[in-house]
Amino acid sequence: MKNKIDNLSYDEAISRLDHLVKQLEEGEQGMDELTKMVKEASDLVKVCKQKLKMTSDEIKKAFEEE
Amino acid sequence: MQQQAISLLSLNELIKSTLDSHLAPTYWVIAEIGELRAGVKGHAYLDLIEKSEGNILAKIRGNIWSYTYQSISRKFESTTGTALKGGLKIMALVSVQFHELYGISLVIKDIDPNFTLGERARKRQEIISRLTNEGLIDLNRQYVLPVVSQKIAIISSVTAAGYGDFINQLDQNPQRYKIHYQLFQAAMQGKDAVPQIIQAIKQIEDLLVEEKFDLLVIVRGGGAQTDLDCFDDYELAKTIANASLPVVTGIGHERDESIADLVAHTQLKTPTAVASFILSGFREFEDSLHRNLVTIERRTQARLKSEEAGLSDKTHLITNLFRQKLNENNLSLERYAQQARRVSLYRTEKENIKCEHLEQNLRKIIDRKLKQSEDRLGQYEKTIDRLNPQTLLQRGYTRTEKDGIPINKQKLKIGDELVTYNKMDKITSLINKLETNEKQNR
Repeated sequence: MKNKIDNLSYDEAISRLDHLVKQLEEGEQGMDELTKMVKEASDLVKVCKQKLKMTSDEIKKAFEEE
Repeated sequence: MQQQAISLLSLNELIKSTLDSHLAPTYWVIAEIGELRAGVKGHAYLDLIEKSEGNILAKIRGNIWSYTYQSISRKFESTTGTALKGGLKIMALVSVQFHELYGISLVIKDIDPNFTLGERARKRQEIISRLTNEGLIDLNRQYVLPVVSQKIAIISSVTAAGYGDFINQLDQNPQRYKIHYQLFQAAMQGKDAVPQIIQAIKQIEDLLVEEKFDLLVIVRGGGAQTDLDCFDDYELAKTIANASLPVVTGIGHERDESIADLVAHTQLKTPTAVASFILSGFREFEDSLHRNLVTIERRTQARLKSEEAGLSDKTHLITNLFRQKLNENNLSLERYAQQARRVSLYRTEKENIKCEHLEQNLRKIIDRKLKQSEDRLGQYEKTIDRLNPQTLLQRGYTRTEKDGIPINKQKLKIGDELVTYNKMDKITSLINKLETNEKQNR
């Protein structure tokens, strides 16, 4: 599952996260399903943060190289 | 009446004594020599005649005794340049002699050569006057002498002394000019000279069409100064004057010029003088060619120099103009370069500022985007945390489901089996009482 998330692009990850949050907001799932979704959503948030961090670092680096 | 007769001898003796007693011992007589014969013993026998318009008016025999003849003829020849001969008019000192057997004759004791000279001068003047009146004296001089006479018709005698000298001088000229000549033979003295020279002139004129002679030359060497009377002949002078070519004479003689000389185009003293004259024409022509060559060379050099100078000036002018133009272009290029530098610096500076501005904008946008994304993620995080059932359970809330679906999403009835989760437990229960939540419904 984690590997699958790592392979997603930032936009795909955000899109998936958005979808999961909406489903969570609707709250029609059972406890197990909810727990899984929360887990996935948390992982997606982490991955997205990492990607943002990387992007920020790269941009910073790119500007510094000038 | 019987006539008294005397013998012939007596008569002749009478005639002789009458003549002797009545005539002076000597007379000076003017007469023409009709014919002159030399006798065996050195005596000379002649006829003396007097003519008028071709008719003989008087005639008498004469003789000159040997001793007298030698002295008279020598004196005559040395003074007049002519030997005693038939046709000459003379003034002679004579004595009349009558011989009973041979009849009357004159014994010539002396001849005055000066009379003959004067007589010849008179005759000569007569011919000159006639030629002048007939317009012949200068006629041959009307021709223009060719600058260079390369083809020459010569009238002379191969035996004449001057002819050889003349030919040698022409043939062996040091400049090796090639002169074409043709000899037309004629006697150059004596009674045959006039008809033969006239004949030669006619012959040359007949050949003119094919031979194209430049000059007619009559030459005769020096030698004895006798028998030159032929060159004073009227007919010869007339033929020379009328010749179709310019005539040059070189009749070697020391006395005054002959009439042939007078009517000729150019008269020279000797044959060698004629040769020199012809060659001088060649030399003058060659000299003029040289002078022309020198002039051409000098003018060509001058022209070349002037053209060179002109070219040099033009070259300088062009070089200077070119340099000037080059300098102008260089200056203009320099100005363009400075302008280009200024413009490019300005543009670069401008672009740089623009870039920096863009970079700042870009960084702002990126920062904003990143912030937005981070914020969004933060929101998601909070939402997830809020919706995380475990968080609720941790805070003491419970969650109840029926058939795996939260009970607030379905209708419940008594007897339904419910599953409730709290922090620690999973509780299964049955609904035995179901009431409406008044607090929520209010």
